[in-house]
Amino acid sequence: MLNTNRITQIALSLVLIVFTITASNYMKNSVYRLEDELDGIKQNIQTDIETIHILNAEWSKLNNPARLRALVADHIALNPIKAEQIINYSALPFNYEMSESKKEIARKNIAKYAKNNREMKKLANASR
Amino acid sequence: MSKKILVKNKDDNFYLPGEEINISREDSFINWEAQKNSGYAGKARILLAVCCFAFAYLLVALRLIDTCVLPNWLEDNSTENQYIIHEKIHRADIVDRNGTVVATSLPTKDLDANAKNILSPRETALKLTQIFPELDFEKLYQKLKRRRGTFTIKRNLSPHQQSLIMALGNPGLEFRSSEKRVYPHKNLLSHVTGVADIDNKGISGLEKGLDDRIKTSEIPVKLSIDLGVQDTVRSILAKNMNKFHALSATAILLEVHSGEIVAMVSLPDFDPNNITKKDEKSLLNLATARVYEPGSVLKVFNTAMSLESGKVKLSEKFDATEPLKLKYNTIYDYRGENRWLSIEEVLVYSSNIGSARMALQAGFNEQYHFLKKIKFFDRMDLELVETAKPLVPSYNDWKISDSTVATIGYGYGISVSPLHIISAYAAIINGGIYHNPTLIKREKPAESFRVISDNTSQQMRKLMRAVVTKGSAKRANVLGYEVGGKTGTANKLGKDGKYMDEKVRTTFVAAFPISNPQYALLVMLDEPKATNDTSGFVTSGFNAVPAGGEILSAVAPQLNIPANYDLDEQRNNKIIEATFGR
Repeated sequence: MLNTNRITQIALSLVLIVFTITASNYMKNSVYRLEDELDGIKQNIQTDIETIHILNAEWSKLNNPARLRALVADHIALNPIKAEQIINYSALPFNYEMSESKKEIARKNIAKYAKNNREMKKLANASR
Repeated sequence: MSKKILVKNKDDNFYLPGEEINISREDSFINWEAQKNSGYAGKARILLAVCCFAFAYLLVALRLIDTCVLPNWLEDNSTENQYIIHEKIHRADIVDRNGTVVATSLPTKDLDANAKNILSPRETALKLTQIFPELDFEKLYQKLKRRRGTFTIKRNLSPHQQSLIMALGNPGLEFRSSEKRVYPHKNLLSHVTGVADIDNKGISGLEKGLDDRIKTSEIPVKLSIDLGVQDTVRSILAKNMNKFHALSATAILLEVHSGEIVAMVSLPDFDPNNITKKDEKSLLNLATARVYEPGSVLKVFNTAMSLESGKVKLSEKFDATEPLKLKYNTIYDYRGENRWLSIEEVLVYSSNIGSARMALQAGFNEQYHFLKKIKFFDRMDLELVETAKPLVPSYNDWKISDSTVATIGYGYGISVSPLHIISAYAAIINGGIYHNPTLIKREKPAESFRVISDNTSQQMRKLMRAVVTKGSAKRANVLGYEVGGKTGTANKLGKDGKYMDEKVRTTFVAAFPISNPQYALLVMLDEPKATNDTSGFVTSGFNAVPAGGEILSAVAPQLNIPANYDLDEQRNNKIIEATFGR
C-alpha cells in the first residue's frame, strides 16, 4: 500500500516536473522573443549601412569640385587664393627684435613702402 | 445456433424442449479456457487502454520536450535566413586621398522573367513596355511566348519602377538583387578609375588593375589622387586645350618624395557611368598608354647624365656656332644663338647642337645605362593596366651610331610615355632618388633607388630655375613658388616618316618650389595651334608653359606649399610681365 511518504514524494516530483516544464517553456519563449528583437535590430543595422553607403555616394556627388565651384561663383564673393596673399611671419617687413623705438621703425617702414611704390609706378609706366 | 458455440462435443445430445436453457454449468462450459482463468478478458481490455493512454502521454511528453527544449523544427528554418539580408557588396569603394568616394557600388534590383510562370505573355509584354518605354514589344513578346528559361528584362530598376512591377502581380516576374557601379564624379577621374562592366568585372583602369583587391576586400582602395587638385588641373587644362585648339592634352602632378600621383588628367575623357560609341577615342589614357618622342624635355636627363658621368663639367662650354654635321644627318638649332654656350645656356636656349655635343662627349654607354636606370626601357610599373612599352633603339644601334646618341641627346629617336618623363624628372630634382610612381596612397613609400648624386641633383635644380627665370619657360614663373622646369617642342612624325614642321607636341615639366621640391608637374599639348596671343608661335613656351603656370599658381595653395614671397622677385616679375604682356 502507498504510505504518506510515497505520496509526498510523488506529489513533490510532480510539482517539480510542472515547474521545470513551465520554467523552460518560459525561458524558451523569452529567447525567441529576444531573437526576434535581435533580428529586427540586425535588419535595421543592415538598412542603415546600406543607407549610409548610398548617402556617401550622394555626398560625394554633391561635393563634386566642379559643382562646388559653380555654387561658390554664384553665392560667395571669394576668389581662389594667390601666392601674393600668403606671407611668412619671418618675411614681414616689421623687425621687432631691433632695439629701435617704434616711431623709428614706423618711419623706416613708411620710407621703404614709399620707395617700393615709386618703383612700381615707374614699372607700370614703363610697361605702358 | 448458440448451442453450437456453448456446447462442445455434445452435438448428438438430446434435449427436451426448453431443457437447453438449463444446461448445467459443468456441461456447457466444459473445456472452455475462460472458465479456468476468470477475469482474463477484462485484464486485456485494461491493458489496451493503458497502452493507449501511455502512448498519448508519451506523445504529450515528446511534444513538451520538443516545444520546450528543442528548437522549432516544424517551422521553416529558411525564415531565419530571411533576416540576414546582408548582401555583400561585391566591389570595394575607391576613395581619393581625403576619403571622398570616387567609385562605389549601389544595391539595385534587376528584373528577371521566368517565362514558364508568366501569365498571358501578350498582356505582360504590353504592360512591361508601358513601364519601360525603351523595351521593344515584339521582341519581348516573342521571348515570353516561347516559355523557356529565365532571362533579364531590365537592369537597375528605380524604386518607382519596382513598385509598378509589384502591382502587376505576375508570378513570372522576379526581382534579383544586384549592384551598380557608380562614379559620382563622372569625367573627373575617368582614366584613373576606369570602368567595371555590368557583371561587376573591371574592364579598364584601376578597376581592372586592382580587380582582385577590389573584389576580395571590402576596405576601400585609397587613391593618391586629390580630388580638388585633380579638378583644378583638369579644368585649367581643358580651358587651355580649347584655347590652343589642341587635339589632346595631358597633365600629371607628382609628389616628388614618394612618387604618389596627385593628379592625372588625360583629355579628351569620358563619363564612366555612361560610355557611348563616340567615346571610343577618349577611352585611351594618354598619360600612360601612349609613347611620344619627348623632344627638348629630354635635355634635362641628358644634362643630368653628362654631369653625373663626370665626363662633362658644369663650367664647360659647347660649340653651337654652326650646325653639327654627323655621318647621316645634320643637327640644327631652333633660333640658334650661334656661339659657344655654357651648360646653363644650352638648357636656357634649348640648344640641340649643345645637347648633342654633350651626349657625344659623355658617350653612348653612359647614355644607354642612364636611360635604362631611369626606366626609359621598361613598361611603367603602375596599378593601371594601360601602360605602354617605350620605343627605344637597340643596344647595337647605340653602339655603332653616333647619330642615335646625338639625337637622343635632344629628345628624338626614343619614345616614352609622359609618366616616364615626369617620374624620371622627379628623381632628377628631388635629390637623385627614383620613386616608382603610384596611384595608391601608401603608408610607407614605394620602391625607390638612387639614380644621380645629391650634388648633381642640386646643380640640375639651379639649371631648371634658370630656364624659368631666363629661358623658354618664363611664363610659368609663378610668383612665390620658385618654379623650375624645362620646355619641349617635338615635331610630330608624319605618315610619310618625315617630321612635320607645323604639327608639334609641346611639353612642359616643372617642379616647385625648386629650392626644396615638393611636386613635379607635366603638361603636354598635342598639336596646339597658333593664336593671336602666341604671335604665331606653336612652341611650348607659348602654350604648354602658360598652361602649366596657370595650373601651378592655382594648385600650389591647394597643396599647402608655403609661398616664398619676396619683393625683389615681384619686381622682376613685373618686368617680365611688362616685356611679355602676359
